[in-house]
Amino acid sequence: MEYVLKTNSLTKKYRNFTALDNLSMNVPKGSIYGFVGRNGAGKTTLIRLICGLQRPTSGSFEMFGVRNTDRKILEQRRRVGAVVETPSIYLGMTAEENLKMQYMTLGLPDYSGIPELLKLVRLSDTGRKTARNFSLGMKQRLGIAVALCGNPDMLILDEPINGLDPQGIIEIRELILKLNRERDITVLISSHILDELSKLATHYGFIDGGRIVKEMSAEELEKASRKAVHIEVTDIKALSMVLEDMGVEYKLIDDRTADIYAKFNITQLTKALMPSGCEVLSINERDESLESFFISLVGGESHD
Amino acid sequence: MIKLLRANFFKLFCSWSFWLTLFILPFINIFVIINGDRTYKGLEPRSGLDRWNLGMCGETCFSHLMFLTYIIVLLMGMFIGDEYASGALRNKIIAGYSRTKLYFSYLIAGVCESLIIDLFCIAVPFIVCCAKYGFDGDWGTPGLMTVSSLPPVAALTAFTILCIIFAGDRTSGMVIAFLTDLVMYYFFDWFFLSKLINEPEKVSAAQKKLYLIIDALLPSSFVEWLYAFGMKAHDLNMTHAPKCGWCCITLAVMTAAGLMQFRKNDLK
Repeated sequence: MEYVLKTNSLTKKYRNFTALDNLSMNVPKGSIYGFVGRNGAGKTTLIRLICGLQRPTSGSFEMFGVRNTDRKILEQRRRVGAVVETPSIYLGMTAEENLKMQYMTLGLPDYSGIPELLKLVRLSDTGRKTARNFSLGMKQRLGIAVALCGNPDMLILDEPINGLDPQGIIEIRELILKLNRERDITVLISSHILDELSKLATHYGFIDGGRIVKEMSAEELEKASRKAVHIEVTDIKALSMVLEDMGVEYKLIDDRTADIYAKFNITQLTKALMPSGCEVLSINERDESLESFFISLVGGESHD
Repeated sequence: MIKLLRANFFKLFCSWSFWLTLFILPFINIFVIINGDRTYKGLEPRSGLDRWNLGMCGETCFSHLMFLTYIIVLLMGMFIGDEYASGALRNKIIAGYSRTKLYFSYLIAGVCESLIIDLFCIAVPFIVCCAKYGFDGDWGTPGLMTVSSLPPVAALTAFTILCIIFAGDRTSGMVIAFLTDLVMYYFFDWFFLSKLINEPEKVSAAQKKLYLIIDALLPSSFVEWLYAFGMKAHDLNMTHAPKCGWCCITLAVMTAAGLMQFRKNDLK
């Protein structure tokens, strides 16, 4: 498998604090790599190192097969577009002027690609409006458009949906999927909003305490996630007693619902509940959420 | 590097702060000319040279240097500081430019901005002076003074950029630049000048020379010789002004320090 980014025992220390601790990960070409971790896990630090904004304390990484210590890494960086934390845009300029600035910075010969980029991120009707007057979603989309100048092969997005409303989140998601499918751009996207990431990512890297806890593809995650039967009853205590007697693994969600993690006979369960007058209101099967899986990896409470 | 410079100059010439400063600042000098003219009106001029001296045009063309520190801090804050505040600096690093190229592109653009404003502020009142009082044909003195103003302007620019880089953000950098320059200027001038003026007999020739050198190394102190030579020379009982070449040393030191700090900094 071809990888666009490989890190090897990457470490970053700030005085008494270790942000990254021997982190090793691999981002496959053409994937949407979801970088999952809590606040302060080291996601942004890793992105800053890859983008050249900071230097690692130890370890190395390879981008498009070129090591970070090689001077040629500067050429490879040109194949990358990134939005790190906040969109890097001039607030006093319009969308078009911002893209023009980036084109100039990259030394691109003409500005003919700008209207298409603006159309792609749905900012073509902003006219003379400066970025200062954009909504947060518009600023994010402009930041992505700036990152897309020069047709990068890889896009790095650090928490791109933070602070966005539901409509804005949908727009960003659709844009990322479009870029990956139509332009074959590899996307590294970091987020702690797991539900949204589960709709995008083809690969995952789970990070905690500056280390990669696990890397897996979306297919592997689906297999690894536990299936559960979600049951709603009128008497949760009665259900709990019956399940204890049946010896099946379960988790009480609230005073009416529970998740059951083992195969069981539904008829037997309802018959066992009848003497106590407990009624079964609904039963449906569901997969373990990404959040639950992540919590099971790094520890802590799930709130499914 | 050419691409970076092109982008920086494009941004510079699109900047309202640059154009506002460029067109408003010369009016300070023109105001001083008009005020001087009012003061000396009615006095009988003997020659073109006397009229020129009466108008004190030679020094009024450099009056804007009184506010130079503050102007440069503001300009660099709006220009370089904006690169930090907007995150555009990140874009340039991600685009694959080395820190050295980036630094020098900012320094060159910043120094050019300051020099353009300085030269415009000298040229416009000079033309007004010539129109009002006539020109005595002497290009040497105004030319020499103009050239002398360039190193301290460039040095102050490099110093302000160093402060912004050191602080890592626009506001803190501007405050550090402003306060440091103010403190150095007033401390040095208060400490040494008071000795030179009040206890001249205790000051040796070597100490006087040292004062001139340090005065030249501090750009804000040096420019005072340009806009108030007569007053300063009289106070210090000196006939010679410090050499502007010392300011080039300050420029070199600030440039080197700025580059080292920029290459070392972790950016966010």
